[in-house]
Amino acid sequence: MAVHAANGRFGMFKPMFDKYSIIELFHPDHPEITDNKVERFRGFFSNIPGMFKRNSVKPKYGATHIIWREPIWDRLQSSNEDVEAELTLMREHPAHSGSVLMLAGGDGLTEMRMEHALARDPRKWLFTMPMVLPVRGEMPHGTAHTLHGYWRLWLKWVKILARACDQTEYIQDDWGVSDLKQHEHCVFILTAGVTKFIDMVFKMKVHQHPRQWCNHCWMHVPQTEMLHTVLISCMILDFCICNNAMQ
Amino acid sequence: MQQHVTALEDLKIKHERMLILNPTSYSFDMSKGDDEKLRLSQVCWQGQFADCLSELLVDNPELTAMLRAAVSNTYSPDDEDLFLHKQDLKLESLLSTIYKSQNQQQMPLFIVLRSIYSYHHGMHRESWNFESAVKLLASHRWTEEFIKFSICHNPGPPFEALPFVSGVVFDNFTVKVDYKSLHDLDHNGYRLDMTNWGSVTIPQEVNLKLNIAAIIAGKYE
Repeated sequence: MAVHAANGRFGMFKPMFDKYSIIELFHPDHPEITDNKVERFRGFFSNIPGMFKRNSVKPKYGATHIIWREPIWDRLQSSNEDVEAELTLMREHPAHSGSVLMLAGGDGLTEMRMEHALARDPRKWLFTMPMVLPVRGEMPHGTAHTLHGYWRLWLKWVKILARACDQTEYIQDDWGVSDLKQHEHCVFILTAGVTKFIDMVFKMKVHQHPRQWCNHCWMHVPQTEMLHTVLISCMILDFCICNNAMQ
Repeated sequence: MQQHVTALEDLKIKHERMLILNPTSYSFDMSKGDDEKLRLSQVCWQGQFADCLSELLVDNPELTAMLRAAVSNTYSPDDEDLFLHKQDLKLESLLSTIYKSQNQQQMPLFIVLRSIYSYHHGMHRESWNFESAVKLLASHRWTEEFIKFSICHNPGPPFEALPFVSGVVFDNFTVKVDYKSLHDLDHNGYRLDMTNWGSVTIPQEVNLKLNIAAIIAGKYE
């Protein structure tokens, strides 16, 4: 019935139209399709180094000013009751009781509990001063640990790249959350290096297709290193996407 | 003869003067009361100690020369500047201990900073008592009181704060204390639960674009 609908008098094609003449346009090896693929691939890599420009301007007001208070004993953040009790204590503290707005920063779990508290009782947390505005920390711990595990798979190759870029001081076998920013910085530098290399190969215009380019690399670079080059690029892109998504 | 005796007596007096340790602007006398403690607190809050930690050496050249002669040896370091810097710190530490030994009310900055550092890292109390007895550290009680005093006299941020808006940060922490997998004592240890928090001052320059008057009036836009 569908064939009849397509070919019949009231079908989707014009009468006398030879639909078999357009089949080759959909073939994966059609020149226009492969050209578009290559163009997207090239454009993708050539734009990557520009994404990692770091802001070198330091804030005018200097370092963050923080005053540590007496710890809240026997309270954690594993229950809504705990987080609400802590928020109440902080709102009533003389340093904050006079504020109109209190920004409250915490990790992902804390932020979730604060948001639930706000949704449950907006009269208490939003319509009385100081209003509580939850702010999530810049980098959740879980993301850092996931990246750590991911990165360790390619650490041997990362070290070779870092040595080539003279950035070895940023690389450690095992790093903590506090070291994340340094490693992030190193990853940016390595990403720029790897993608510039790939972009340079493309600009030679010797290889019109990524498959040709890969074949060329297999012949000139040891296979494992080539594989790692491509994989680390994918990993770094994952990292950036994950990082941006979290922020 | 009398002339020689006078010359020898002058020399003796001169030597005695040379061996007297002169206090500096970064030596604090706690017997002067809270004003002096406040001055010490302000110096600590400044957080810049590069120039302060060689004051005793600079103001006591004769004693310094004597100590340098006493610690000299035949070692030739690869990094001369680093070696001299470390030696200056050692001699400053020695002079600070001498200054503190004169009177327990006298507090050189070097010893105050070491005491705060030891308190921050939870130095074992028996080790502290020993180091305090030989004047390498201030007493634990004095250090604790001084830290509380200084916290009350926090000079505040070096920038203009955003009015009516404040910030807090908080995160939980838990640790098992005295916990052992094999219990051979009466107690089984305990779990220390806490949530650490702090107040963050938000600078005027961040420009949050908040209409505080509208918020107070209940117009949230």
